[in-house]
Amino acid sequence: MLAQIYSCGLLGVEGIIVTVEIDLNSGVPGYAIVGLPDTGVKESRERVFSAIKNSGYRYPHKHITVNLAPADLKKEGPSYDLPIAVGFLAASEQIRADLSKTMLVGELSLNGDIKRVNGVLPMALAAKSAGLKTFIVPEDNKNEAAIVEGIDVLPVSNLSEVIAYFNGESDIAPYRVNPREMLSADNQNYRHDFSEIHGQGAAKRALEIAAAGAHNVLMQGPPGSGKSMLAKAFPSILPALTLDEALEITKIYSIAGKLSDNIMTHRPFRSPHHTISAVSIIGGGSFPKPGEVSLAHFGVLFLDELPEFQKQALEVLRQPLEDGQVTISRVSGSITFPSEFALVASMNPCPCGYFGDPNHECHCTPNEIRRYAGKISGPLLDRIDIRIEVPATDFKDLENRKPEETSETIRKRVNRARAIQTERFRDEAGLFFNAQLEPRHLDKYCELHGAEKQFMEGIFNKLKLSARGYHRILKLARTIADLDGQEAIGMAHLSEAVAYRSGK
Amino acid sequence: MNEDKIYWIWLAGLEHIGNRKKIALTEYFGSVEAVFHADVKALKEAGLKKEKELDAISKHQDLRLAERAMAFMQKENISFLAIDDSDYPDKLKNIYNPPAVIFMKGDTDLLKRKMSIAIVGSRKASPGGRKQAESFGAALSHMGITIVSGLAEGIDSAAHNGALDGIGSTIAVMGTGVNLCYPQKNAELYYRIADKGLLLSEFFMDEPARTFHFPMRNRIISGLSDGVLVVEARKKSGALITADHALEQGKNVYAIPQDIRLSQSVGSNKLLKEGAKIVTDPADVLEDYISDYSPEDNRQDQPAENKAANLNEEEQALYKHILNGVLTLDELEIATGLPVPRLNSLLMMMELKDIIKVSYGQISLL
Repeated sequence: MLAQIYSCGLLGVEGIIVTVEIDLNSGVPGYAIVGLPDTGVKESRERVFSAIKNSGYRYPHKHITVNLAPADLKKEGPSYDLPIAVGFLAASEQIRADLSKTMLVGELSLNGDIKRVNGVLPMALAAKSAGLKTFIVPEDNKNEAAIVEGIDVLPVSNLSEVIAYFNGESDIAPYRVNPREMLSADNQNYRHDFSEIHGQGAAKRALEIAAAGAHNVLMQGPPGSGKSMLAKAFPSILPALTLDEALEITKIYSIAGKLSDNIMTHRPFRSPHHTISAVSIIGGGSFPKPGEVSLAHFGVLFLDELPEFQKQALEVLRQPLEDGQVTISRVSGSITFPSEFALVASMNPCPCGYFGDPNHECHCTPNEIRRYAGKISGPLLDRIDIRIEVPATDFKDLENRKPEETSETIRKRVNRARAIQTERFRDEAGLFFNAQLEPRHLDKYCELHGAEKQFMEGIFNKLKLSARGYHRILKLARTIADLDGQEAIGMAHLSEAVAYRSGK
Repeated sequence: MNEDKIYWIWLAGLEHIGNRKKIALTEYFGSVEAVFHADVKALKEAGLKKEKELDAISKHQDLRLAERAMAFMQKENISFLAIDDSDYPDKLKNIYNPPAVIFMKGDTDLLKRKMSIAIVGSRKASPGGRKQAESFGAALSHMGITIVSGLAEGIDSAAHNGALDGIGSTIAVMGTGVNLCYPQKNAELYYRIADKGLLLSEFFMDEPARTFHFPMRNRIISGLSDGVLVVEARKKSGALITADHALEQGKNVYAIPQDIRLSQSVGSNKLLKEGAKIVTDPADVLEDYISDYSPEDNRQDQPAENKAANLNEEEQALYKHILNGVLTLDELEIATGLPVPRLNSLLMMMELKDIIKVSYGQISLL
């Protein structure tokens, strides 16, 4: 007897339909599994055997061949347990049902319980586009699977339920969620709010501009000046997640196995420790997993103490910063993960940390200070539009003197500025934010007239700007003008942009 | 002296023997040539005890290196003066432990100038301090006074820079040999001084930077000067060592009073407490040396308000707050009630007009 069951594997962030074929032959009882299974898949035999037995069914005493097609794609993980078990039962005619429109995934435990697996959301998407009608998923994965509309998601918690369903003994109601509701119910709550931070008006403003134009930020300042706190509050002023964005982030978290049983309703905030390796930053492994840059997709990647990171780990950031995606090449092929994140980095001005702090003596030599700043390579710095100095906080600022603006107020301004940009770049493919403006766009979108032009020429000469530095100021001025609701870039916008210029 | 020259270079190039011992040896043997020919026994009698010191001479009684050094000096336009030379500056000869030999590159006539003032201070200077050093250097140099400093970053560089274009010009006393530029960052300044001023060092031409060199050269900075002006100094600044040398050598010590909140003002303000003369204008220095000098006619400093002439109304209002001592961004925000974007924009305009400088939220007046 031959049984064919649909299941799903993963390639990067995409689900790939895998057909689990099971053939029972007479002859010496035995077991062979083919189709490039990894150890986790091979071990499924023992789990499946016990799960079937303990659910009260018979394990076929025949020569069993299991084939996972396509046979040239490497299969990993325990998610094939359930389809293999159902395949045994179908091949041994203990289940009689039409399985041609159903996809199954799930890990079995020895007593027949079904446990959660990774990557269910991309699998559901793959099932839908392959035209399958039902998707049987572990109970714990039901939320992410049900986001996909147009396919019936049947959550199950043990093998007996599945068998009873196929044999028509009981029915499982399709599980439905409304992702829009989940999103709007939860996305106003942020752990940190800008109103909790007193003072630091300049840094807050810089972050507002960064949020509005999707610019990357580097904050320099002595310890205790509030750099980390500002960075943590940064997601709260970013525009609210759209459903499409939420789905894409959920997909990444789903395959990384980092999804709690809901969809992602917040922009992610990733803050890897500075000992992180280059591979953990961009992703990798023999079955490539998304790295920190992808886990920060549509969110914030916060690198605290930037110069302490390994050089290699920082240099690999260049591609994701430039392209918004990372491509990881393995022998089996290359996989692309999205990585459209906002980089927020912080660093001390010198090794001891206190340079520029009026209240502490800095013990570093000018040479040490220069060398410390020099640890960040030019090409990386070039991709950071805003570089600001965060001063040491004065005790007076810590006292509540006046109510600070809430993140919500700031976010409204950011949203407005983003809307202007969306409208402006409607006809430009792949261009969404001011930060993406290339020199060739600047004449069109950042045109200067009369006095402003003269002013910038003056600045260009006075500050000995490079062409790149000049463009950076124009881009920032564009965002500041957008926040202001102005079509033309004015003097005030330009001079403010110069204040956030890099490498003073 | 001329025939001695080669021996002086030989002596200057000897390692493991300190400057004071070198001078003592030439005095003991009567001439530097005699030191060269002295045998171990004579050297022992002259007071050399350590094996290392004896070896330094007895194993190097050979003039080939000195000859090569001389050829090199000729090629690179490096000159030198030994302590028994008639051109050796008297001011320097009279200090405790004067250098046996000084190497020079540039305009050696500067040593013969009547008056010189040292301007020294912190390497990590504030923008305001740097500006003060530059303008004092320029003002004094334009009066014909030679500015002496140490070619370090921060105050030293600013003082050299300011003085270079004046008739007084500038002397850089280096902690390395004159053929090396240290710190590298000052390469441009180094070449400009070699061209228009004077580079001077007691160390052999290619001697690299060593930490103990810098306190040593400070005695020469004060020695070559008639007075020492400290602009900004931290608690343990090298500038304070220079000021101590100046006091030992009987020179005047001046200091510019600084904002007491800043760490780079602790040292210079301490000097003021201990009795250094308060200086707020180059004339305050000049009046001590020029008897018929009437400072009131030559005051350089103008009330700061005049600077505000090319500011617009909004900037003027902001500037008033800054002059009144509101010196951080957060304080300004409260004092003026202006939103941060506007403040940032106005401050930047003023920074571009060279009136203020903002660094880590601190505003310094220039």
